[in-house]
Amino acid sequence: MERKEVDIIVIGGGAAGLAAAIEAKENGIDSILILERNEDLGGILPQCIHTGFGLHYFKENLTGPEYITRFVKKVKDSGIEYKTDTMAFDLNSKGGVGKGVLAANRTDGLLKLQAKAVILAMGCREKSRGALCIPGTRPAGIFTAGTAQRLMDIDGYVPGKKVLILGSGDVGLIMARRFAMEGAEVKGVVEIMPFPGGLDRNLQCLTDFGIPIYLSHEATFIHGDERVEAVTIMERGENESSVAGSEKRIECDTLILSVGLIPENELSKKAFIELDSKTGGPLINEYMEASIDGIFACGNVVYVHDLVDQVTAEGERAGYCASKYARGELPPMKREISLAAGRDIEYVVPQLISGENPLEIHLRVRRPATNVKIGIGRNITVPKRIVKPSQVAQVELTERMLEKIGEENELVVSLHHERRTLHEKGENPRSHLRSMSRRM
Amino acid sequence: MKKERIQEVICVLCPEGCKITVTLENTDVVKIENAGCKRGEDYSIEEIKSPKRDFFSTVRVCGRPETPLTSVRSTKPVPKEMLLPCASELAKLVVPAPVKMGDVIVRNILNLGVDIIATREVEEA
Repeated sequence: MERKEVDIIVIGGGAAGLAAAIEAKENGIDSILILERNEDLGGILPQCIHTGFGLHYFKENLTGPEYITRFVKKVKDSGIEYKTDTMAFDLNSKGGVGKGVLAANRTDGLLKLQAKAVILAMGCREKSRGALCIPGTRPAGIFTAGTAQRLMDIDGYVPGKKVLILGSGDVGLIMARRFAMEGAEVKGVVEIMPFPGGLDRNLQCLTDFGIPIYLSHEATFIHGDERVEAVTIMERGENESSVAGSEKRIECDTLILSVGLIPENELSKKAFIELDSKTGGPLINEYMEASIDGIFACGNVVYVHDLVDQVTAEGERAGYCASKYARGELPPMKREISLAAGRDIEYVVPQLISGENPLEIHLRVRRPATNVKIGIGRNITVPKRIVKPSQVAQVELTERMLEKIGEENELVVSLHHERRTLHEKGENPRSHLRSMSRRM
Repeated sequence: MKKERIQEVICVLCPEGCKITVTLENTDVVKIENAGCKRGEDYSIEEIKSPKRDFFSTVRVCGRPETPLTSVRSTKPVPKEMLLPCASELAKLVVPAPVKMGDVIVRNILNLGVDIIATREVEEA
């Protein structure tokens, strides 16, 4: 068994972890160790061969591999130590000072690591068929979108010829286009909600290739003996029940699941870090610090981000704060004001602020709406022209706004509608009426 | 004879995602509605007259079994209707390892004035 002591351990060598490590290094921490489970650094981005990365961070339109290679090169050039093929499987903070991480790989065997600060950057993973409980047989040909992407863009296999995609999140839309580009017949994208899950710009993936999208539909049966032969879909009516007689049987040999991502927090749970049931990630404060001192978190392990540019920015913040913590220079928060999700808000990050430092908070709304006001506590309102569940809304909390907090210890963040978009096909008219009556 | 046609374009330039309605008379744009900005108006015109897209795909690599593919992209957007022809062109290719990021894989593909470059490093065989 090898023992090692470092200043900062970064768990996960994807976009968040690499940004955190680079930032910590640039802030004078020399003893950093990145632990990565995969054979290479980079996380998910090497398989995201499409463009659209880096528009905010680099002001350039890059592909996934190009974006992440810049960070991988920087880590290697600056001499930050990293171990790939290495699985971190335990995290503890017993004894107060110092955090322990247990990891293992083929060359070192068991690694018993100690650090002043730990940065969690484990990312997220995809929901699979088991999470959906779709009835039917259990044939081959059911893949998560990320698995299909890896097969196509790293390993060189097209895993199907007639493809149905379940879920209209960004990965699902991008894989619809990718399959179409490789000559597969894409039968459609099935979305349970009345609106698409992905970014608007990714809807082009469907319109360009004439791929239909079935909104307010769900898969109700998977057919096939050895291989998928067809999938039955049904319309979802009010009260979340299927509409009788709306069955459509779609012939296909492959079903791609793009039905959501879950932050990967097994390690956080082992360390008894408090999690937010809505984000699925650690509760964090404005330093990106979790409920245990000296453990920081960034990227998709905190909540599932829409853009890697935001992940990088968050990684840098975690890396900066962790470097201050490791040197004993991170001032404790004088006050702890919690941000709580209120009406029509799914979650708010960070969940704890001091009220002293201006910062940007991120929140995800439950429904698309235009011309809204976001209320933060009793005295702060911020107008927004448009909000959508597919895009995290960013709200700048300025010094002036923070002054209005007063003695409040909990700020409920809620959406105040002025006018709701109804042009989204299938918007449930009853939920609209309900919110109207509540307002009156 | 005047023939009016209405087309809807979802603008992709910023997160607002305006649903722009463009009215055409024959091939002339006569009205643009619901665009949030001037850039959006220009985008909707281009999107109707000559839509372009970033092209990206993969190309087979020989000599290094651990890395059977490199990923590639076009140096500039290509006309939308040329996406599939470009993909077919690349399907014919096998390039030898090593590949450096930015290496030109196909110069001036299908005479479009656009190069196809590698976006993934492949080490020496």
